[in-house]
Amino acid sequence: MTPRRNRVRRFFDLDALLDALATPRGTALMLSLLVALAASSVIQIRNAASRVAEAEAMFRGPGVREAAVSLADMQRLAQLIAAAGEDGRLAPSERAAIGGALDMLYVRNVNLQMIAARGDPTGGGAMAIAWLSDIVDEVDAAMATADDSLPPLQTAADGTLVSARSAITRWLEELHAAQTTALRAALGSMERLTRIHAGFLGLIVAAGGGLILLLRREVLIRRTRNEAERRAWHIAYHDTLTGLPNRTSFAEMAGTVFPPRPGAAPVALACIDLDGFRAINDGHGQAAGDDVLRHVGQALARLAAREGLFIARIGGDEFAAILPATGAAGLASLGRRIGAAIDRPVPAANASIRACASIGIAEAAQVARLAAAGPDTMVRAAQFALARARDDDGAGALRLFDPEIARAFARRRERLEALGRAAATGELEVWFMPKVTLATGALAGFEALARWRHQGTLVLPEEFVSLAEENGQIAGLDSFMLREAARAMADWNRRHGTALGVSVNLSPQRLGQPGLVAEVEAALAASGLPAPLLTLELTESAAVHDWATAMRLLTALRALGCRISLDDFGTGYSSLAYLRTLPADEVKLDKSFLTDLTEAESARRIVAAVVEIARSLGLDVVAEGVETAAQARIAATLGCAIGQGFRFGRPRPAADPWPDPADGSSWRAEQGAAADPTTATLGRASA
Amino acid sequence: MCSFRAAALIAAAVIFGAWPALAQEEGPFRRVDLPPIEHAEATLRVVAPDGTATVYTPEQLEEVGTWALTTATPWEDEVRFEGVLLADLLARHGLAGVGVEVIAENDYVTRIPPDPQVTGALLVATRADGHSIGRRERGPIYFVAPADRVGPDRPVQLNHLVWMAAEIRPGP
Repeated sequence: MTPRRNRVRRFFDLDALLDALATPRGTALMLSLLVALAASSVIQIRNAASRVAEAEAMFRGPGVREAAVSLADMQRLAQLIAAAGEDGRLAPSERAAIGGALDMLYVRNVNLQMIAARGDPTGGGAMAIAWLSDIVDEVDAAMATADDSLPPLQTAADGTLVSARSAITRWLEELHAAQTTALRAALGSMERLTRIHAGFLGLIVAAGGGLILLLRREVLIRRTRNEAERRAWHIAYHDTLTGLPNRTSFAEMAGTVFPPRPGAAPVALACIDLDGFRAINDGHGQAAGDDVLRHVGQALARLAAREGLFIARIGGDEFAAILPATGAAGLASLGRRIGAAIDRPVPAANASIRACASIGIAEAAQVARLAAAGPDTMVRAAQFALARARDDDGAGALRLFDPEIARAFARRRERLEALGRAAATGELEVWFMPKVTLATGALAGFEALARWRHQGTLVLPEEFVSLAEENGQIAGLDSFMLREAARAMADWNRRHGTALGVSVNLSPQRLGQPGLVAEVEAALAASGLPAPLLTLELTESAAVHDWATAMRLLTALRALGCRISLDDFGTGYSSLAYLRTLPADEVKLDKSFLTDLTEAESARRIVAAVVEIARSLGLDVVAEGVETAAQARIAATLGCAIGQGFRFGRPRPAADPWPDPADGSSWRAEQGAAADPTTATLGRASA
Repeated sequence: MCSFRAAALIAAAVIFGAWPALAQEEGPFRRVDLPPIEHAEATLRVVAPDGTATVYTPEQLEEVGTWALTTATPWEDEVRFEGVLLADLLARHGLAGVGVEVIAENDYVTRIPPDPQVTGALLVATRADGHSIGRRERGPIYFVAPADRVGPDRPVQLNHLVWMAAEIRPGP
C-alpha cells in the first residue's frame, strides 16, 4: 500500500466506522438522526400544507363573492331608478321593485359587515361597507321623503353608487392581490420544501447506494471467508501430497463407522502399506518417493470414487480404506483390486518405479469377537493381518483377518496386557551377562538383560521388547531395568567387595522422550551405584533420526558421570560419522564380525581397522558374541580390551550365587555349562 | 300462549306507538303545525319540468307541510327556522331527482344538484323564531340547512343557502 493510501486509510477507516455504528450507541444515534429527519420533514410538510390551505381559504371565503354580487345589486338598483318614472312620477310597482333591490343591498351590506368583522386581510372592506350603508340610508331617506317625485331619489343614488362601486372594486383588487401574495408565499414554501426533500431523496439514494455497496462488500468478504474456511477445512482434512483424506479425516470417519451400530451394514478396514518405500526414497530420492505416493494416491482416489470407498493416507506410506464387508471372498477380491490399482509402473525422476503394496483387511464382525471393534482396535487388527501377510508372503501380499490370525492377535493382546502389569507383578527380572578383560580373563562387569517370566516360561526379549516398543510400554520397561540393574549391581558389588560396572540398554524411543536424565539420576541415587559404573548402551541406528536431541541427551548423561556405549557397532549406515560425532566412551563390535573372525581374513582386517579408529578416538572396544577360545584370542590380539559371550558365561539372574570374581579361570569354565537353556540362542540379548 | 300474546301486544304497542313519533322526525327536521301569521309580501314561483308554473305566497307554501329546524347559519347564530322541506316541494312538482336552479329576487342563479344529500338537507324557511322573515332578514323565503351539513367538504355549499328566493325551475 502506498503512503497516500495509508493516509486515506487513517483518515477514513470504513471498518472502524462500521464497527462504531454497529455498537448500541452508534445504532441509537443513527436511529435518532433518522427520527429527527423524519419529524422535521413532517413538520415542514404540515406547515407548507397549512399555508396552501390558508391561501385557498382566501379564495373560498364569501368575501369576494359577496362583494362581487353587491356590484350587480348596485347596478340593478341604478337601473331600476333610471328606468323608473318615465312620466316623471314613481309608480307603485316601481317603488316596490326599488324597495326590493334596496332590501337586497341592505342584506348584502349586512353580510359584508359580518365577513369583514371575521377578518379582512386588506382593510379595504370598511370603506366599501361605509359606502354601501350610505346608499341604503340615502335611498331609504329619499324613498321616505320623495313620495312619488323622482329627482331626490336619483340625486341620492347617483353620487353614492359611483363612490361605492369604486370602493368595492378597489377592495376586490386588494383582495385579489392578497390572495396572489398568499398563494405565492404558499407555493414558495412548497418549492423550498420540494428542494429540501429532493436533497433528502438524494441523501436516501446515496445512503441506499452506500448500503448496497456495503452489502456487496460484506457478501464478498463472507465469500472470501467461506472459501478460506473451505480451504482450511480441506487442508485440515486432506493430505496435500496425494489429495486423499488425511489421518484426522480418517480418525473422524472411522469414529463414526467403528464399532458398527446394530443393524448397520457390515464393514471392514484395510491397511495398505507400500512395499520397499524406504528403499525407493533412499535409492531414487525423496522427489521420486513423492511421485510414487502421488501416483498411489491418485489410483486409490479413482478406485474410491469407482467403488464408493473411503480411502485415506494415514502415514508416510500407509493408507487405510473403509470397505463394505461382503464376506471373505468379496473382501479378498476387493483387496486384490486395491493392490492392482496401486501396482503400476510410476514414471518418477529419471526412472520407472514399480509401486507395490501389502494389504491387511479386518472385518469388524471378526474383530468384534475378540474386543469392541473401535477404530484403534480395527486399525491394529488390520495392521496385524498386514504384518502377517508380509511375514508370510513378502511384498504385494494380501491377508484377511481370519480366525488363525485372530488367535495370534488375541494372544498378542493378552501378552500386551500382561506385559503392562509385568513390572508390578514381579514377572520382569534382571539378568546379568559377564564381560571379561580379554588380556587377563578377569571379570570386567556385566550387561543387564531383561527377562519376562510369563505363565511359567521365559519370553524372548525380541518378542516382548518389540511389543513394548509398539505399544508405548518401553519407557516403563527401560525405567524398570535402569532402576533394578543399578540396584542389583550395587548389591553385587557389596556382596563381593568389588567395583564392577553394569551396562543397560536404552531403547531408541527413549532418546526422544523427556525425563531420561532425571530417571538415571534417581536410579543411581536410589541404588548407591557410582555413576561411572553405569554404562548406557545405545543401538547405532537409534539416534540417526534426530542427531541434535541424541547429542544433547548423551552429553547430559555423560555429565552425570555415566558411560555411553555404542551397541551393535558396524551394522548401521553411518558408523564412522557416529564415532566422530557422538560423545561415547565405548563401542561394542557387532557379533557378526566375531563369527567370521577365525576364518575370514577380511573380517579380521575390518575389525583391526575399526579397533584402531576407536582406540585412536579414545574409546574402549568390546567384542560381542565371543564363543570360542580362538575368537577370544584373536579379538585380544586385534586390540579389543573386553570380551562378552558364551565363552565367558551365559546370562543368569542377577540375584543368583555367582563364582568368585577373583578367579578368572572360573569364567572360562562357564563355557558349555548351560545355565539358561532358553537364552542359548539369543546371541545378542537386550532389554 | 299467554306469553306469546303479551309479546305480540308489546310489539304492537311499540310499533304503533312509535310510528307517529317516527313520522314527526326527519333527521334534524321536526314536523310542526304552525299558527297563522302575517307574512311579508313575497312569492315563490315553481316551474315543473313540463313548464307549468305554480306561484306560492308564504302562506300557500306553508300548506305543503311545515317542519322546524334549529340551526346556525353563516349569518345568524342559532335560530329556529320553520318552513317546508325542499324535497317535498320538488316532489310535488315532479322535480325530485331533477337538477334545479333557484333564482333569487336579484336574478342570482344557484344550481342545486339532484342529490338527496343536498335536497334532503334544505328547508325552504318562511319563519324564524316564530315570526315571519322580514325582507331585510334574508326573507321572506330563505333556504337554510343544518350547519353540520354546510361547508366546502360537505353536501350543502354556501351558495345553496339562497335568500330572497323567487323561483325554482328545472336546470338546463
